[in-house]
Amino acid sequence: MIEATLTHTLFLGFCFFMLGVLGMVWKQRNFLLLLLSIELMLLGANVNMVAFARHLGDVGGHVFVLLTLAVAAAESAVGLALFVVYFRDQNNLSLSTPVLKG
Amino acid sequence: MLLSTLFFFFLSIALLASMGVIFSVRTTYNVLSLVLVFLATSGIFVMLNAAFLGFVLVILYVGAVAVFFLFAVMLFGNQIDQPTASEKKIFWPGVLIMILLTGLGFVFLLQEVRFASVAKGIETHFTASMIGETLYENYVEPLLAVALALLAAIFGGIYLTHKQKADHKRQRAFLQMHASGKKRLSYVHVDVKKGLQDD
Repeated sequence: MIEATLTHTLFLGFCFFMLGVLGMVWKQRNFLLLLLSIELMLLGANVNMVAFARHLGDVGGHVFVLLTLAVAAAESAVGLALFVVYFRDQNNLSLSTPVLKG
Repeated sequence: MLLSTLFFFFLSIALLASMGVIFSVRTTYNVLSLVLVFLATSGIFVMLNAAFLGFVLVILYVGAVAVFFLFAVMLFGNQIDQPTASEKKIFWPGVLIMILLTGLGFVFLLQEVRFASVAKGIETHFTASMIGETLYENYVEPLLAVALALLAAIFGGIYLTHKQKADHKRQRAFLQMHASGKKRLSYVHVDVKKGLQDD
C-alpha cells in the first residue's frame, strides 16, 4: 500500500483543474456546465492550497481558500442570475445561438 | 495504513465524480456529481488537517451553492444534453491535450516536490481560531475586497433578475417633463363616407 503524500493531493488538484478546463472548452454551449466547470477549477486551486498549507505548516493557505470560496459563491450567484435572464429571453439554455456577441 | 486507504478511497471517488460532472448528459446528474465531488474533497480536506475548511465546503457548497444550482435545474427542467457532431469530433483531441498538459505540469511539479518531500511535512492541526486570527491580522485588505465583491454580486444578482411590472404606477419625472401636446394630440382627416379607418 502506497502512503498518501502531497504528490497525490496535488495530482487531485491538477485533475480537477484540467477537467474544469476540458468542460469549459468542450461543452461551450451549455450554460450550466460552464458554471459547474468554473466551480471545479476553483476547487482544484483550493485543493492545491490546502495541500501546501499542510506541507509547509502555514495557515495562510487556508485563509486564501476561504477568500476563494467567497469569490466562487459571488461568481456562481451572478452566473445563475445571468442564466435566469438568458433563459427568460431565449427559452433554452443553449449558447450556440448567436445572441451573445463575443 | 487505514488513513491512506481512506485517502485513496476519497481521491478515487472525487476523480470519478468530477468526470461525471463533465461527461454526464443530464443536467441533474451534472450537479449531483458536483455534490459528490465536494463531499469527497471535504473528506480529503479533513485528512489534510483542514477540518474547518472541510466542513465549510460541506455547509457552503453542498448546502448552499449546489442547492442553488439544483433550483436552477428545477426551474428550467431536466434537460438532456447530447454532444453535437462537432463536439464529438473535438472530444478525443481535447482529452489528449488535457492528459498531456496534466502530465507536463506534473513532471515539472515533481521535480520541485521530490526534494521538498524529503523533509517530513509539518503536522499542524489548523483550527478555526488560527484561521480567523491570521485572516483578521494579516489579510484584512483581501477580506474587505471579498466583502465588496459579495456586495456587488448581491446587487448584480438582484438587478439582473428583478423583473419590473410593465403597468406599474410609479412617477417617471423625466417623461413628464418632456411631455408635449404634439406627441399626444393629432389631427386626422376623416372621410365622410368611409368613417374612421384603423391603420
